[in-house]
This record gives sequence, structure tokens and C-alpha cells, in this order.
Amino acid sequence: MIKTNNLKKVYTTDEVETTALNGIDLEISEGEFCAIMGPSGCGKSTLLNILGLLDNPTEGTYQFLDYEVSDKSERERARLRKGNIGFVFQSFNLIDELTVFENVELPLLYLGMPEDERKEKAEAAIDRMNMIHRRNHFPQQLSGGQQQRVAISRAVVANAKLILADEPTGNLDSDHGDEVMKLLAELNDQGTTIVMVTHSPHDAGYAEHTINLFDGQIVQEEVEDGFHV
Amino acid sequence: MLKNYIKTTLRNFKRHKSYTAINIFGFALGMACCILISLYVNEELSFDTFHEMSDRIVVVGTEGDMWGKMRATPYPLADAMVEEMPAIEKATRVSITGDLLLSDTEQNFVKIDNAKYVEPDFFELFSFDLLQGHPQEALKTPNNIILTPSAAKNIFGRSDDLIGQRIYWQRSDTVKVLQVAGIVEEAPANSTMQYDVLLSYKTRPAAARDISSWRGFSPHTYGLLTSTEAANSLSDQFDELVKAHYEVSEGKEPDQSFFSLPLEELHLSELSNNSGFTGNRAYLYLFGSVALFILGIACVNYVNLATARTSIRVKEVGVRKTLGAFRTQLISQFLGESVLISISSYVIGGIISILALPYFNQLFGTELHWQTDISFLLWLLLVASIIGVLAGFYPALYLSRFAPASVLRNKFKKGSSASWLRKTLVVIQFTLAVILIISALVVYQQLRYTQEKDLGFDGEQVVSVRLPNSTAWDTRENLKDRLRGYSSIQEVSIVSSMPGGFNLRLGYKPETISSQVKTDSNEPIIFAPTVVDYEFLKMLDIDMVAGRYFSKDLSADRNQAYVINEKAATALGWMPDDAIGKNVNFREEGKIIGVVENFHITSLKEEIEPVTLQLFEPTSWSTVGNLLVQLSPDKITNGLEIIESELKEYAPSQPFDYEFLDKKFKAMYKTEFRLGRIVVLFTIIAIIIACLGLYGLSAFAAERRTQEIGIRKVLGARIGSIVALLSKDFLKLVLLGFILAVPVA
Repeated sequence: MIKTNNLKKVYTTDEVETTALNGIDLEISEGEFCAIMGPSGCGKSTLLNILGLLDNPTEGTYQFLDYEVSDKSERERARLRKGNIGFVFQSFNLIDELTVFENVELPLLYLGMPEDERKEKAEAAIDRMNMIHRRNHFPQQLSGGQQQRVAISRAVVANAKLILADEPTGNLDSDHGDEVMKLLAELNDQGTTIVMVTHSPHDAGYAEHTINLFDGQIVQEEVEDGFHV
Repeated sequence: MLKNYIKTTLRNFKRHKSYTAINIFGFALGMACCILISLYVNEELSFDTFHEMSDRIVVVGTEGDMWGKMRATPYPLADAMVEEMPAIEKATRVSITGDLLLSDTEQNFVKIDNAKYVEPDFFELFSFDLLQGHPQEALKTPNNIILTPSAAKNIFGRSDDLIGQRIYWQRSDTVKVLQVAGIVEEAPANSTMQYDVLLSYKTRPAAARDISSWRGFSPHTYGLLTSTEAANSLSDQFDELVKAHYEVSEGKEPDQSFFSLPLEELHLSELSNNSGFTGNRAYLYLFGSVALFILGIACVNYVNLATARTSIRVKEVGVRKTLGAFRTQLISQFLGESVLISISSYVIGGIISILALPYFNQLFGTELHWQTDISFLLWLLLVASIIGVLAGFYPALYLSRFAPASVLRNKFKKGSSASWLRKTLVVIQFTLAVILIISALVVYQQLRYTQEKDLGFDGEQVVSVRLPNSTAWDTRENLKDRLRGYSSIQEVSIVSSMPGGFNLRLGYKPETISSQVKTDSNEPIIFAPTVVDYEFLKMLDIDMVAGRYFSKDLSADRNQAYVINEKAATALGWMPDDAIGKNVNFREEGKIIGVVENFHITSLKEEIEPVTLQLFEPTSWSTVGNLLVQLSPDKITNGLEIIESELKEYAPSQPFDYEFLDKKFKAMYKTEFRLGRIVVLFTIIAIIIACLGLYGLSAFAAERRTQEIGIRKVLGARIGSIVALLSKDFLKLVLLGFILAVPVA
């Protein structure tokens, strides 16, 4: 599903060049649960943004669902993202002005789905996360764990093949954190590919494929059946 | 999707109430100004367009070397136009006769202000509805009169069943009998042709009709073109007509010509009777630009507040983009928001303007009505939406630009470009506001000048009354003697023209006045003459500059002496002292015995004109004159009652109209005073809107700097220094605005 070759990302600010990613070769198959770990500033989130088509690499190739996407325009990336990739963030990133239902419905709106179908799918997704009783609440009226459950509903509502989670338990206590991890594992069991950035070895324990980054390079890669260094 | 946008927008408004209130209120105030001014502009541009054939009606005027352009035309012109000019299908004459004294009983005459003599063709050219009577017949016979319902009610107390009724018309010493031939609808407010009654043209005295003279100018002539395209050939055809009817010496240009202009353009042309703010293109531009100024200031508020609040909206932008929104979709969402704000403001502004319309009318001296005309409202709605798009365009581009990857990880840093733009806009906003403030001050200063400027005479407690008829004028010495007998009357003077009412002008070539004139120019000099009496100078406290005033002891003063003003002496090339003793001829021969200081005879806006004063009445004049009475300050009411009862002796049924001379002059500045008040009002509105925006920006800045303020307080900062810190940035911008505005204003 994901294949990168010699992926590089260089940021240029105030005439200073920072290399965030330096030659990443990576392969993630469909149905995998992959965790990306590493210290702050090692390039985890940059990698996730590129994998999630929110950003383009400076160099190298990236094939997503067998398409070469490293040189696509913002508009084309947005089109590919819709319906294929779901996002879960550390700070939930729900829109404060929209209710639970409206937040979850949003990806379907951008897919241009008719209202009846939207309603049915959004409600099913919310129900799946046990949040249907809160469907008309606003994000501020929910706990952190509940907000993250809504965010996961939003990520899965369009039947995304890939879910990218950026420290999904970072803002939650351990009970709620576990709850979220179980939900992700459940989704993975049902066939969704999950790529998760995390600091927590506990969370990474849910993954069958772990990548360790340092200074923009993969320093260790572990899959359940063995080690790559 | 649209529902989602609207929901987000409305909830956003609700969550940030003060921000929304500032934006909507500022916009609504600006819109209300715009709506009111649009009503005014719309009314001004709609003048005379209600006539069915308005695009084919032209107004014809005379242009002469001596007088410039005027509307008076020779009587035979209308007929000649129809016969000799292929472009003209019909032509009709209208003569103004001013106010009439009319009654249904030969007693208790009512003053009707606006009467016109019109020809039978009148109703064929103009689309005024004749409510009763026959349009073709009503104006054919002499002594027929057509009344408006209000005039009819004034005279008869009713407006129906009046056809064939008699009306008595008092003209100086005689009473004429007229017959009601019709009732005509009131002329709409946006008609340059206004009337209370219409008289058949044949009622006009034969002498005044001057039927065959191409040298006398009186009636207004209107022509109906055969087609709108025919207007192009009018000028050539008028030239031909002039050649046919005036003797023009070989190689010389004719000394007068005719010109035409479309009726629809008459109101805003130099030929219209400008009063107040109507009929003057300059005011149209002035108020139009003021409205745009104010709206501009409101738009700047929107742009500033919207871009300043970027940090609040970027998360939403990031989320929407992550979920697959295209930038164009976000741009239209944000544009939709600003359009929603501008349309809400339009509705609120509309309500404000409905409530403010009576005050606006009072201030502008207009009679505007709220237009229920749907196309006008839709047009305003369109303008409101365009304003929304204009104001929202930059914020929409700016907000939709952020990359989701950075904003969602809180790595968003606000761009310096928007903050520079904001600063620049605040400076522009305050530059505009300061320009308005300075303009308001200048207008006020000029108004004070008109208040304090020496008129050249003292008009306090001097009341002026037009004499009722020629008998009163002919026996004026008796009237004066009688009035002098009352203790409430200090001084009496009777003159043919008085300051503020010099209606006659006579032009003389310098060499015909005197052989000793010291001027190189051979152009005629225009004088304003008046017949005065011995008391005139003393009463108005006008000073002599050279020579002396008329004396009762010198019989020659009575019919062979002139007193002129300094301006007249200068026009003739004389110093005041030189003028004394010079023989002159102003239609009648005489000697200059004195020169008085200059005094304003019309308004302060006009230049001082050369004036001649004389005791005798030239035989060619016909005047009824004006009575000037200086009243005792403590017995003004009593004095007025005495004047009224004395004048009733001459004409018992005539209404008593008086004016105080100083107030009459002040009244000439009514428009300027109104303009002053309007400019001040708009300035206040502009400042309110600008300050609202600044308040929004500074409140938001303070909110964002809470952490900094906390740290500073912990480190020992006092409230004063924090206030100074927060105000400093904005004060700098306001000051810069001021510095930029001063030279511009």
C-alpha cells in the first residue's frame, strides 16, 4: 500500500536548511498496523504528513496504492486523500462550531455524498464508537477520550483504507488511551491499515511493525517475524 | 455543503459575539448612510423621467454675449421651431408668473405660490394627468385656470365639482375673474416643472406676450423631437433659425443663439433652479463619495478583524483541508461568510435608514420616501453582496492559504504580510477619518465667516415688507409719516430694492455713462439700481466714503443726483473722491454727489456689485417697492401689528408677509448650514466606525497578549505601563494617519 524510496524532506527557513527526513525507504502492506517511534524532532510527523499526502517530499519517490504521488499538486493530493486516508490527531482537531454528527459527516460532504447516505454512514460510524448518545453535542461538551472517539469515527466514516494517527493517546489519561488503542486495533483487525506515530512503547506494542527514526533516518525496523536494522 | 457553511458561520458569529457585533454594526451604519444617499442620488437622477416622452422633450434656452445662458426665449420661437426645424414635432411655451392672490368670493384672498401660463399643447408634451376637465379644451380660452387638488382645497375648501366655477384674482388694484377649467394632479416631487395652478396662456396680458418680438425674452420654450436621434441635428437647425430671424452683419457672429438640452438633464444642469442639495451635480458627487468613504472604513474593519483572527480559524482550515476540501471550496466558504455579514448589515442598515429617513429629509431639505420598488432593493442587495465579496476577498485568500500539515501541529505562525496590511489599513482608515474631520472644521470655519462677516449694513431689527400695491408706493411719504408716529417704530424707509432683494440690473456701455470714465474696456458695466429715500442710509447704518448723501434742503438732489457705491466708482475707473461732481447718465442725466461704502446686496457668496442710488423714479420703471421698518427692540410684536394694520388699509384681503433683514441674509446660508451639519454627522459616523474597528483590534491584541501581560505583572509592571504598552502600537498608527491626512485635507 505504501512504498517510499530514498524519501527526503528539507525545510528552508531564514536561509537555514533543516533536513527533516534523509533517505527513508519504507514499505507498509495493506492491513498492517505500523508504529513510527523516535525522539522529538526526529522527523516522525514530517513522515506522517508526507504519507498522508498533506505535504510533498523534497526528493525521492512515494507510491501510494501503486500510484506515484510525490510530485502531485495540492488539489490532486486532496482528491486522493478523500475517502482513502483518515486522520487521528493528538489534539483531536474537531471543528468547534460543528456538532459530533456534523464533524463526522464532514468527510462525506467533501466526497459529495447525498444527504441520506451521509446520515446513515455518519450515524453508523458514531455508533461504532459508542458515541451515538452524544451526536448533537459540541466538542467542548465532551471529555478528551470522547473527542478522540469522535475523531476516530470521522477517520473511518468514509471507509478509509489507511488511518494515520499522530500520537492519538498523547492528550489522554491511560484508561482513555487504552480505550483508543483498542479501537484502533479493532479497526486493524477489520482490515484497515494503520500507521501511528507515538512516543509510547506501550502503544507501539499494539503494532506488528515498528519503525524507529533518528535524525530523519530509519535506525531500526521491527516486524513481528524478525528485525531489520 | 451550503448548509454546513451557514451553520459554521452562524455558530462562529454566536461564539464571537463582540467581533460579529462590531463588524455588523459598523457595516450596518455604513450601509444605512449608503442607502439614504442612494435614495437621494436615485431621486436626483430620476427627475423628469416620468414623462412618457421624456427622452424626446428638449428645453430650449437663449445664449447671449451679455447674459450668458438663460431659459427665457422670444415668444415667436416656439412657432418658428415647429415650422422651420425638421427635428421638432411640437413646441410649447410656459411662462412663470409667481404668486397669485385668488379667492372664490372676491374677499379673503389666498396666496397661491406657483402659477404658470401654459399653452394647449402642455398636456400633450408632459404626462401630467388632468383629473377633471378636457385636456385639449381647458387651455384654449383666455381666463381659464386649472387647479391642483391642494390649491382647490385652499381656495374652495374642496376639489370636486369645480369645473366652471369662478375664481377672483387680485392683481395690484384690479380684480380679474377666472373660470376653473380643470383639476390637474400635483406635480411629482421629481419634476422640474412645479405648479399650484395653470392659467391658459391667452390669459397673459397682451403686452407681456410680446407676440412678434424676437428681441424680448420671457417664456420658457419646450420642444418635442420627432425622434431621439433628431437631437443631433438641433444645433445646426437653430443656427439656421437665428440667421433667418436676426440681422447679422457680414463676418460677425450673431450676438445671440439658441441652445437645447434634454429635459431629463435639466434638473442637474446649470439652468435648473438649484435649491439646497437638489439640482446640483457637485452635491451628488460629494455625498456619493462620502458614502463610499464610510463604507470603505467599514470594509477595512472587516478585513482587519478577519485577518487578525486568523489564529482562531486556521485549525478549521487545516481540518477541512485534511478531510479533502479544496482551497476554492474554503475561499467560497469564507466569502460566503463575509457576504452573510454584509447582507445582515444591509437588512439592519435598511431598518436604520427607514428610521432615520425623516431626519435625513429634514437635514437635506428633501422629500424622499423609502422605495418599495423591488428593483431598487435588489440593486442595493447586489451592491451589499459585492461589498461583502470585496471585503472578504483578501481574508478568504489569506485564510485558505495555510497548509494543513503546519497548522494542525500548532506550528502556525502568523504571517507578517497580514499584520503589515492591517497596519496599513488602520493608517488609511484614520487618514480618511481625519480628512473628514478637517473638512468638517473647514466648512464650519467658512460658516462662521459668513456669520461674522460685515454685510456693509446693519440689518438688526429691520423688518422688510413688500408694499401691497402701487397706491402704497405712490403715497409712500404719507405711509412713512403715519408709521413714524408710533413709539414702537424707530425709523422707516421705502425703497424699490433693498439688500437681499435687488432684482433689477441695467447694463451701460462706459462711454454712454460719462465722457470722463477712465476705463479701457468697452464692455457694458452692469449696475444694480434702486430708488431710495432720505432715511435709507441712516437706517441701515451705511457709511459714506466720499461726498454726501441726499439732502432734503437741496432740490436738485430730488431728480438730478446719484449716490454710488465704491464698487461702482472703481468700475468707472474713479477713486471715490474723483467721482464726486461727475456728470453721469444712467438713463437719466445727473451728478454723482456721494460714494458709499460697499454693502452686500444679494448673498455673501456673490461678489459685491456696482450699485446706484437715486431719489427719483425713472418713468420707465414700474415698481411697488419695499418698506423697511426699524422696530424698537422691546416692542417688536407691537410694531409688526402696526405695520400689518397700516398695510391692510391699502389691500384688506392681502396676507401680511414680513422678513427680518438679518434673518433673510442668514436664510441664504441655509444650505451651507445644513451642509455643515451633514458633514459633521457623517464625520461622527465615520469616526464611530473607525473606532469600533480599532477597539476590536486592540481588544483582540490584548486577549492574545494575556500571557505576556501576566509575566510582566509578575515581574512588577504597573497597570499604567501595561496600558501604555498596549496602546502604543495603535496610537502610532492613528498618529501616522493624522500626519498623512493633514496635507491631503
